[in-house]
Amino acid sequence: MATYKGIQGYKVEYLSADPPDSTSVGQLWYNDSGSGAFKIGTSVSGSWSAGGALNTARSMMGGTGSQTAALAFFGAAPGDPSGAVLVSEEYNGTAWTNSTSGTSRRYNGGSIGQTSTDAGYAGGYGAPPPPLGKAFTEVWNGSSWTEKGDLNSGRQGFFGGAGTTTAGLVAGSGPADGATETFNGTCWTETANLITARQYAPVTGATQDAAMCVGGYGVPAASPYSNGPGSRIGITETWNGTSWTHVSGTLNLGRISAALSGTTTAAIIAGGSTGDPAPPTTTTATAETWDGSSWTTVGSLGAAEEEMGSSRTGGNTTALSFGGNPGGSISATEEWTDPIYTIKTVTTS
Amino acid sequence: MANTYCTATNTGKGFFTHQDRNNFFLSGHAGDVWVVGNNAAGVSWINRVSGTGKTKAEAQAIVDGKVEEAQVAYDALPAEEKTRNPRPVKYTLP
Repeated sequence: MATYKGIQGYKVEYLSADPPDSTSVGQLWYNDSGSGAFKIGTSVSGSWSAGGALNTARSMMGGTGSQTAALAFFGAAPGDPSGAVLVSEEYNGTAWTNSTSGTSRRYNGGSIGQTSTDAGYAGGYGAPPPPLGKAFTEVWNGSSWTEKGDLNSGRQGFFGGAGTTTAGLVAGSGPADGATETFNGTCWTETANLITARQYAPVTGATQDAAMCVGGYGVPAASPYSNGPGSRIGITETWNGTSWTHVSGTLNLGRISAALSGTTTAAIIAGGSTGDPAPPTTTTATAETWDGSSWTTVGSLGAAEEEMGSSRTGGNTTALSFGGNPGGSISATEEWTDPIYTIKTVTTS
Repeated sequence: MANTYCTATNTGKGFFTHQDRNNFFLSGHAGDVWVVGNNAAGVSWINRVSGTGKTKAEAQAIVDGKVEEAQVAYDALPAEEKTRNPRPVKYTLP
């Protein structure tokens, strides 16, 4: 009988245990000499899988953290009398657990912070009476929410933010005036506006001096609110601590209200509302990754969603999308992992 | 036939895995409707999640019903909130 060594000139290595998935790609080994089975490590392109469901189904919430340690906060839930909720939930990679609630009901606010123990929520739609655009800021320290200085003007239509609760940034709100504000842990300061004024434009970034704003849509400058949705755009702008810059990489599919996670050099955007020109618009399941210079279409969400919360860290290799719409607020979570490592057993004969 | 249709409740972690996404087309819609690639892995997934098989017309009717519910909810929104998004529209399942 021909042997592997006789054919290939090499012996297959015996390992008492499988190597880590990420280091096994392209390797061939066996564990059990009696099984006649070899193992090989493979990798395939990333995909979204189902994660644990939120305890409170909602949309337009804040989010931060990683795929295995995330925080969801505030948001909109149609069943709530005010439409806005205070609930915070923590994710451990498997399930969401209710945590301490905030004090000011809001949704569509800006999210700062990088971890599940350092988060902030600024502005957003509040409960009636008008004006619904709020300026409140609350900061989470891992166990409780504390009110901090207000935004310089009440506004809504944020998705995400950048930096931490002592050096944060929000941008891309409504009315679509391009306003950008930075936070020092105590108060907010207005700074240079986005080049392209827009709202419902996701923002992410690791620090106050390194952020990106993607997609969104504009409204007539003279109107406090939109006369109707404009075209969903794919423009990407990056922030260097002083000014915004249009970068050449635009989304393959313009969108608003999408889940954006990562940094200015590695990020992923998923879902959202598309349509160019609009209306009509469509909720999309598509996703794109950012490598610092261009967007690449990757595997889609399991279900088309918009107005989700998202994790903040993980670059373009791991991320979470949770909650959102349509069909009323949903509780579903999806987990992005790229690449997917698999150890396969091959039977010799 | 490229796709098959079912309803199934998303039970959270493990409901669909990375392996599933690699093995067959999967697309979720309102009303717990799932469009599933019509291959052995897709059929196996429907069984695993205790999905209830639907014809395309039945699945489309469920989604249309949910869109109509969303339209009613949208119509009841204050004018300011209607600026946030356009009125939901019906669409055709793949």
